[in-house]
Amino acid sequence: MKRSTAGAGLLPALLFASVLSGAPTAAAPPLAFPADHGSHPSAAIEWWYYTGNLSDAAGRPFGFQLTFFRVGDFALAHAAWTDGSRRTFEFQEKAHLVLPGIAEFAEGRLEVMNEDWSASAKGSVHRLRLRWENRAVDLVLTAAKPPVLQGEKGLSRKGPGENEYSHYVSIPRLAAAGTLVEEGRRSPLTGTAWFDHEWGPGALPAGAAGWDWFALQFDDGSELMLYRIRTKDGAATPFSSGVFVPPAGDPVPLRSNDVRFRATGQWRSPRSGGVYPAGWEIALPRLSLSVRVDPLVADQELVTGRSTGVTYWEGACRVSGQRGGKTLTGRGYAELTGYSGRDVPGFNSR
Amino acid sequence: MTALRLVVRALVTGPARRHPLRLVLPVAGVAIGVAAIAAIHHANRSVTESFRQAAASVAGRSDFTVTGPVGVPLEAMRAFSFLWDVGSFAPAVTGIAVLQDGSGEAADLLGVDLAGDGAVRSWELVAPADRSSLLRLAGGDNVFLSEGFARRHGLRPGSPMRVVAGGVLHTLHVGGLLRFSGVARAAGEDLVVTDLLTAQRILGKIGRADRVDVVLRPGVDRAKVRRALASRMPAGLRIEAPDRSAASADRMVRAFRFNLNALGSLTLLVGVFLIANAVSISVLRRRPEIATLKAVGASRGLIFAVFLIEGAAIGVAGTLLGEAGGVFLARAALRAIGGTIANIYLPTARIAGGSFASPALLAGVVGLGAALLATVIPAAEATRVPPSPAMRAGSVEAVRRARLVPRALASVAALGLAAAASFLPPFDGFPFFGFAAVGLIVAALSLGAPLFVLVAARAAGRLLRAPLGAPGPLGAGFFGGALARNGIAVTALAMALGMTLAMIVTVASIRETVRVWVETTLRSDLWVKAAAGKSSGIVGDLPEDVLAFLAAVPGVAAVDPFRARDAAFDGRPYTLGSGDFRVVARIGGLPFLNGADPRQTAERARREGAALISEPFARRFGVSPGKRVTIDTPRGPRSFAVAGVYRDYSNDRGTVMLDRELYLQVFGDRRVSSVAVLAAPGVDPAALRRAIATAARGRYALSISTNRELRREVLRIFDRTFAVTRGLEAIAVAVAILGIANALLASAVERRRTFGLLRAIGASREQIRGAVLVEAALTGIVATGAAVAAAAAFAYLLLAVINPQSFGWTVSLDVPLTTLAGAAALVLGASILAGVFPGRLAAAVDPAAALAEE
Amino acid sequence: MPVLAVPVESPAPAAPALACRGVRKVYGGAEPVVALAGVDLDVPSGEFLGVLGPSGGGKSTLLHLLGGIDRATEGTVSVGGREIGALSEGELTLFRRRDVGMVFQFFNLLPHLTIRENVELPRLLDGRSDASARAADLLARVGLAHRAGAHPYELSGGEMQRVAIARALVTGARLLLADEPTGNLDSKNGEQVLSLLDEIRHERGVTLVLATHSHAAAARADRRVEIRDGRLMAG
Repeated sequence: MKRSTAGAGLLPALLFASVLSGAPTAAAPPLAFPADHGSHPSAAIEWWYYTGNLSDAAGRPFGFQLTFFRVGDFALAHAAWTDGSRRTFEFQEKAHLVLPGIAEFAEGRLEVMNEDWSASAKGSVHRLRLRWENRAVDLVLTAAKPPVLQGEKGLSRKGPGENEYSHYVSIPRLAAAGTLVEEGRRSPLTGTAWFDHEWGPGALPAGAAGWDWFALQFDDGSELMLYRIRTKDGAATPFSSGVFVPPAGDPVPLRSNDVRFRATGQWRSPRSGGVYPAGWEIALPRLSLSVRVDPLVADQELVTGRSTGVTYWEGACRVSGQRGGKTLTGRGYAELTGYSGRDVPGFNSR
Repeated sequence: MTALRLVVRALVTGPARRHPLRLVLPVAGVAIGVAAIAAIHHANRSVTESFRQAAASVAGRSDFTVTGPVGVPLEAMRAFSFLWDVGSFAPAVTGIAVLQDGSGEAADLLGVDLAGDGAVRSWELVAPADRSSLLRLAGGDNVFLSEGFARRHGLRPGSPMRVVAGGVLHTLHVGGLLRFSGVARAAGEDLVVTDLLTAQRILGKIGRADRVDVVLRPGVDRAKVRRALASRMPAGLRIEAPDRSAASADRMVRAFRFNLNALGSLTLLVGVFLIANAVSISVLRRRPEIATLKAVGASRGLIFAVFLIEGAAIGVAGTLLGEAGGVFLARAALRAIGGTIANIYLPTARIAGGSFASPALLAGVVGLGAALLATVIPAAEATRVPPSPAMRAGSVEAVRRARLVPRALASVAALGLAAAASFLPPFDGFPFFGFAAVGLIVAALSLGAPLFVLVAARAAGRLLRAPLGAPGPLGAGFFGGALARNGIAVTALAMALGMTLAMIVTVASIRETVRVWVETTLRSDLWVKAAAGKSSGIVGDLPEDVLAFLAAVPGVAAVDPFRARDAAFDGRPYTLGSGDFRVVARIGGLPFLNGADPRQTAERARREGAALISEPFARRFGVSPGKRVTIDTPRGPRSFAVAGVYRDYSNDRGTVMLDRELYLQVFGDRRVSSVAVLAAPGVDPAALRRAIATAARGRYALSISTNRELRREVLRIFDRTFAVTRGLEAIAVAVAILGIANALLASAVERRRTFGLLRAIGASREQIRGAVLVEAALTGIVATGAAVAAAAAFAYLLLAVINPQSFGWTVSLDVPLTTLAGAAALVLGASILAGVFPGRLAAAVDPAAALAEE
Repeated sequence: MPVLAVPVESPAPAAPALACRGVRKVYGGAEPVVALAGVDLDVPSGEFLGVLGPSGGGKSTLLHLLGGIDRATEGTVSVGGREIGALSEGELTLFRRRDVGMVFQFFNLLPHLTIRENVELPRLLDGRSDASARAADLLARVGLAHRAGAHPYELSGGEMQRVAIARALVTGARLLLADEPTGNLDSKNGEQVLSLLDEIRHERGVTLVLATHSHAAAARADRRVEIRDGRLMAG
């Protein structure tokens, strides 16, 4: 029995994927866009993932997350909204069979929807639609950088096993503009967003307990993505990795031993009782970069009983530090899984 | 207060204590009526409520439902996505699974988007405990059951569950247990819920849902959304109100239930007559007491009030007894009715006993009301008793005699109205006027009864003198003397017996018609359908490949596929069928209404792409050959010419038949409902059946009948359908005979003085007894005579008006004289027997004591 | 049905003589009531006897015993030489049917039968085919032929009592017992009924016993006796 799964982006969805007997990784054709932004039905699991830090005309900060999962015949979706000035966080989830008009994933182009949430792309322009009971967010995201193929030409290894990999593509910076309608008031939004798309068999290496994932966007035009797959004793496995995208020029792949992590605080969830790290110091001596990452709001935990059944923390962060002696600021998103003790709720017992 | 107490004691409690038996009959009358009403109302209500709940457990909270002629293609739901801004929607696949655990029960199989269905349907997973497991367990062959269903069938999460669905045996697994909430609770008990995709696969409905249920958020303009949806969705789909399926299920059995209600009302009517009779007698009997009370100054109001109090007391006692009896009677009625409905109309119908509160309340109100109503007239009469204790006997009768002529005129008028009503067409598809005519005949009967009694008494007084001597005219005199009382007894018995005789004729006629029809129509040797468990009808369908399979079995000469599915026109359900018209063109066997040649008609229909319609359809929808029928197809409504109307007694909703080729082309629905198999010359059908069963093992789950079995089955179902009817009639007749006994017994008590006098002037005990028996016999004879006349009218109305209007069947008259004569003789005998005890009582009167009473 | 009595044509007997010897009648119960306390009485054939006395004095009881409606507790009652106390139930029924005619204070006509039928009835009970003819004769005799088809409640009290007299005579009985026949009539009607009884007694040669509390009514009698507290006193 294989232990389900891992992904740099999101463990939760992977947790209940049935393992597809391995499409041989070596034979994978090179990725092409926009076709590979579309759905890959032969992969057991797949997801499209947007996060971003936004602000309205008054400069009030917001964070958003919108994720569409496809797991076999099922379509799941999570969305979260962080209001930095009110210090509030809300999330919602959806779950369906993949069915026309209800939850769909187009092939050959980026066009996904689940009920009244949707994401689509034409060229470098992505449109997101997010509806809550009392809030509507419509965003136009314009890619500022080309897609980054994570891992080996987009093949990201999570472990030594045959199925412990995913196809992983990111767009590290999209300029966001749109509107927020909240309680009848309409305000313009601007900001920066991040896009991830992963698909694959979805197996996580044995012994993995969870992961920490960061997508940081610096004001100098560079981005940093890092993930650590943790073992039960908290150590990172060798398959932890990342990428640094300079303002111009080719991305720099990072290995696990390039990065030093230190948690600077703790937050205990009143809902799940999970104890999460809150704030980090991350140092990459190779890039002479060191930054502090602090959550915009402490509580950005999602308890997704109705869809994935996983509890995780995914939240907007503020970044400050320096690179090569120069002050560096930025914003980003962090994802922390495997802390609540509830994120592996027995799906593997089958 | 003291005066009232004394009056009550003098009039009510005193006599009651002295003759407690006198109270038994009115109380029993109320009790029987109340029990019958409660039971029938409860059964009917339970049927409606069960349908509503069954529909609600599928429709959930939906505001409306989208369906289509062959379901809703899933692709069509793209047009629905705008609904997410105002609410949500959820597709469902429905079908039937027949359990293979020895119970043979058929259950509704419901396939839904388990992960996302919560907004529409009300259930929660109770085992395994956490809800997210639903996702893990969805798909595969997992099904979800209510706790009650699982318990009933000995299933637990993880248990395998063998069912036949879509004509194939499937081994499913119990994935978990569900708890239904809200209105779905009772009916949800019998649902087998599974993943939409699993249900599609099992039922052979790939790519389609049977319905899409739409739930809108509060405050959303439903009409506007409905219009928007109608304009966006593909042609051929239709939007229905959510209670439509309950309504249409209910409508399907409406004729059946109406039948029950009519018979129930009959029992009630007989009961009310009985109460009126009993109360009236008990009032008349106390005339001396009343006179004395009035002589000492009791007011008319006081007398009236006291009798009303007594009526209320009788009503309360009878109602309480009746309610108690009703609980048991209701259980029996429900079992019988539920069985019939499951057998004939809806194989998965599980008629659960609903709340008894409302039927009990209704029956109580009717019982009390009837008791009071029955008291009012006699009580009013009591107030007219003159205060002289030496009041002339018979003056009450004199008052009544004066009303004979107006009553007779009213009776004739009622008959005229009944005749007029019998010509009126159905109203809202229902023969209300036919039933109104039945009611009018009953009215004419009750109005005319005293006259019949009088005429019969006069004639009998003359005719019976020679053969019977003194007891003849004496009995005739008794009979004619108690006009009012005997009029009621005669009416009650004539009504009950008349309806019974009419039903005997009707049922016999329909049965004979059906028997002849089955003989002509059933020409194939074997009849194959999906295994149906204990249900007699077609339960589920078969994949198309079963045709090739059957054709390949050695000994099979030809296979003739038949397809039937539910359709609706203008919201009224009918059956859309398809068959191979070439087979009809070759072997005939379809009896056409106008006597047209079946071969030519079928051939022409096939060539011209025309439809053949059944007689009930033609009647219900007013369509005739040469006209066109409009059918909802996946590409919108399409009209077809009607080539012929054929007789069909298998279905009262009406059927439209298309040639299979045309049907496939229009609907693309390739599944078959049943297959007729012709054996090759010289092949024994029984042997062929064994060969097919052997070949099908492991591949199809089939139920195969031989021609003869099927014929027998048709008649067996038929007889079962009418079993309830017969039970109700028996009750009505028994109640009516009880009424006669009551009337005679009352006479025996009341006429003590008369009997005493008769004995004093020389009548022997035998002569007295004989006279009472003569009176009993006359009551029976007049009632039977009236019943025969009424039965002729009832039978005409049932066969020529009500039946064609409600079932749409032409029935040829078949009068089972022996049965009718037997029934009439039985009733006549019973009514004479009813005179035995009163006769003995009368004969035992001691003349001196009786005369001394004055 | 053994309800038909065999018609037996008996020769017209002479009006019976009555004889009571030591007749006692006690009605049982918690407190027995002595209605007759030892009565000795002889009534010759064809006599018109007036029995006087207060209400409850025992007049009706005496008539019931004479008419075979009731049996004496002690003593013998003979009618025409037959001791009726010794008759079987069946014989007693026949006795009542053929040998006695009774007229009551409250007429006791059957309300549901017509006048003609009421009169015919006793003769019919005897299974005779001449009931209609006899009834018609008698109704004509009492002057009510024109009301033959009416019902009793359509008649006046006097008329009803005349019907009752006709009924009492229809069997050809020679013993007529009248129990307060005028008690419920006004004096004019009462007088009519009494004279009718008297006339008929002479016409038909019957023994007539008239019980009454009225001395005026009893004035026509050949002889009067009085019963008081169950004992006979000379009148």
